[in-house]
Amino acid sequence: MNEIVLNEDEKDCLQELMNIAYGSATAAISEIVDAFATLSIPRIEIINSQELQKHLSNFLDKELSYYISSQQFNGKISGENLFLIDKESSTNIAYQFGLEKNEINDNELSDIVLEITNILSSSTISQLSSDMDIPISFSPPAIEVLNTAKDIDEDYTQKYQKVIIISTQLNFEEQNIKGELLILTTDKSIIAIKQAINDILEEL
Amino acid sequence: MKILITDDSKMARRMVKKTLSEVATPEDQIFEGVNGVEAVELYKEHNPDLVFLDLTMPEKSGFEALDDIIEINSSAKVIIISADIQKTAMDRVKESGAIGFIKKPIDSTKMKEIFDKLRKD
Amino acid sequence: MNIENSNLICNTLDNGIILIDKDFNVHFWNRWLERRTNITSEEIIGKNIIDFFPKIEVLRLKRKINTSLKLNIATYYNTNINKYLIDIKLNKIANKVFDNMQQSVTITPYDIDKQMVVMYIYDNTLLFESNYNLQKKNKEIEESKNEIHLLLDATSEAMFLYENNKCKHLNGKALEIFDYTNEDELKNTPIEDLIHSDYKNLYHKDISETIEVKMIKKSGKSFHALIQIKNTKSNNTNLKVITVLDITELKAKDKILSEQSKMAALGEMLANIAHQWRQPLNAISTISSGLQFQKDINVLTDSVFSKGINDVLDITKHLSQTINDFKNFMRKDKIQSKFCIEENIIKTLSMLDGMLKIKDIEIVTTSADEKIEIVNFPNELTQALINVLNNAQEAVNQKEDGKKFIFINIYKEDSFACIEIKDTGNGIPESIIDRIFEPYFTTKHQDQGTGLGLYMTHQLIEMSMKGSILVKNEDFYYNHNEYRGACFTIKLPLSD
Repeated sequence: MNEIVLNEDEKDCLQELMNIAYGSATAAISEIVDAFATLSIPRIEIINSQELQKHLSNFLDKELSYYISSQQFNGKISGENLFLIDKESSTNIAYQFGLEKNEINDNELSDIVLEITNILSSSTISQLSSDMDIPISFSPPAIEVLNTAKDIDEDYTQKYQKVIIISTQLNFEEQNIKGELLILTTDKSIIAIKQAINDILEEL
Repeated sequence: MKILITDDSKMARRMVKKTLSEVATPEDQIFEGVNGVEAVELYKEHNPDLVFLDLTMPEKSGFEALDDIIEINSSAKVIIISADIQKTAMDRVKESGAIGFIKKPIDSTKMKEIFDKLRKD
Repeated sequence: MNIENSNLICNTLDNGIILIDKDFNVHFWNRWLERRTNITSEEIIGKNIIDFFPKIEVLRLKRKINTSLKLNIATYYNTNINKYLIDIKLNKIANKVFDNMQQSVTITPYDIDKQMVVMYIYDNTLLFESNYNLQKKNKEIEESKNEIHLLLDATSEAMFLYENNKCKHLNGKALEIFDYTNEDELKNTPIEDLIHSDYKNLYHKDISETIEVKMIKKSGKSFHALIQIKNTKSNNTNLKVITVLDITELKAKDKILSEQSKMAALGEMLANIAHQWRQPLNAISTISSGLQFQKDINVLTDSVFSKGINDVLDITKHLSQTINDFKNFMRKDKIQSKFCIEENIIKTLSMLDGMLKIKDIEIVTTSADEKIEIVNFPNELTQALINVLNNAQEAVNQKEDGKKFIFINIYKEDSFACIEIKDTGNGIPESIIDRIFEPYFTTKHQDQGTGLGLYMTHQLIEMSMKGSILVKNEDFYYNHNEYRGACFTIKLPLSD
């Protein structure tokens, strides 16, 4: 198994690409939701897939109940986008969409979270795809309700050996909406990512 | 001309410098800062003619740095180059006194446009 | 590609295709939809889709179409959440799970200027039927699992299930017996590590019989246990079930039983000694007081005196011998020795002599011509015989009339030496004859019987001497008289 190492320049470049990609996604969302979001600086981490469950649980507040939805993307770079959002935040998004309190139920919230995930995921990856010049396509997103990190499917650990996590927070402070965006990809994609990054760096 | 480029990403700064090199002259001086705090300090120190500022930065965000710089010099020429392209963001920086907004990634065309516009003023 | 070709593709595709604008007016409706909804293209084109499908949630559809157009991305209806968009009744009759076709929908921008999108409708019914059935099965399996767990936790044995030599399951009793709180910790401890070092040589992975060992709890405390291993194969998986039974309590009970038996044996022995000594002591007393009397009245002669003293000496020698016999007998045999059965029986009878004579019981002994010798524990045979003979003499004593006999017959049969003891005591009632070898079983009053005599005999003969003892009632003749009584048959293996 190749040790995935990004050197300083490569890491910086990827960071910047993610910044742009997430910026694009946030803009898309805030247009739909009609609110202002604070963008946070994307974090890039590379971990062993066995640690994934533990790692993801760090994003979760033990007291809250979460929706976790994921959307797969395919191409030379493949993986999935995960969007973690607690129930209260998703309810607040629903209000932003103009829903009344009595219209809000699990089903409605699930649909909204899926929409948001789709928007975020499509925008992020599309931007990356165009910046890196690598064609990528999507599958429809899927959703689950998580009560603890243990609910996260253990199958993750068999699919991937090393997992690259690129995460950022989505924060609509005024509306009390907080979510976590993660891109998970594998060691196979890192080769394509490295290639694309180096192509970009060369142009500079 | 003294130019200040502030962005926490080295690559982003490189991209700005690269596109700048196509329009700038050898006499132009370029200063670099990595966060909002440095942006303000370097502005105080060198009083650059043109500032390129990112919005998402540690220590101090671009929004705050912009406000601080305008406070120091109300006619400071600050151009925001950011990934944060929400309309609200764009409106906010315009209101704070930024003279332009470039969506990342910057390229030569966009940079040329900026300089052309500046030269006209 | 010209219009005809694309129309052909759209109309032969196995999905629904709708061209619709943001006001929900339909611009294209493909054949797949025509067939399933029975709404023709002509009927619906130019009209509002909501008029035909009023159950569609308008706000949701509007949101999705708008997002798609605004951001130029695909948006989706997820079957799990939405079930279906277009209401299409299913015609399935057997195995019907859903009433309506389960659908997923993809909405992509078609013409942003004209604000039109394409909606692709996919039939996911089969997939979701499978899912539904799967979930149903899963639930059943979960329930079965729970039942099994209930069963497993109800037993008094620790149970470990190994799949391919890795411990997959253990029950609550296992945690309890070994004093573990963490299930995984115990699962990862190999059985060998739980066995006391003194007994490790008895255990190896492939043993198939039950073994008795000492095992170690987490606290370090050890206890006696029975381990049983069952190996099977299932679907290319090697399955092994290990059960561990804590026999500490059983062993304690056993110990008590064995001690009680010993005490009982001792008690019986003392009673026998008392019997043995009564008559000789009486004799000594009689002779001594006789001598004294004769001396007092001056008729004592030297020869009378000598005879008297000699008799007393003989009797004391005899008493001394009985002490030796009993001392010998009380020492448990540690090694087997070769001995003659008839001689052993004669010695035994001599120990009971006093008692039998007083009670007027006649012993008739018959044996084969040849001397029958075996290699075994002689003292244990004596002890066993004493118990049986005691039982026999009590039985005949209970008869008020008729002669009292105990018949002892020694013979060879196949590869066994046999000792048959018959009495004329009318036999053992059928209702209890199956129970007489049970410990604590007695028909006597509590003060008189411990119920351990025949139990001890059984243990001695079968466990220690590796023989067998059986009892049955028999009707038989002796000297033209008919008698009925219990017949004990002891078989002991002949050495080669």
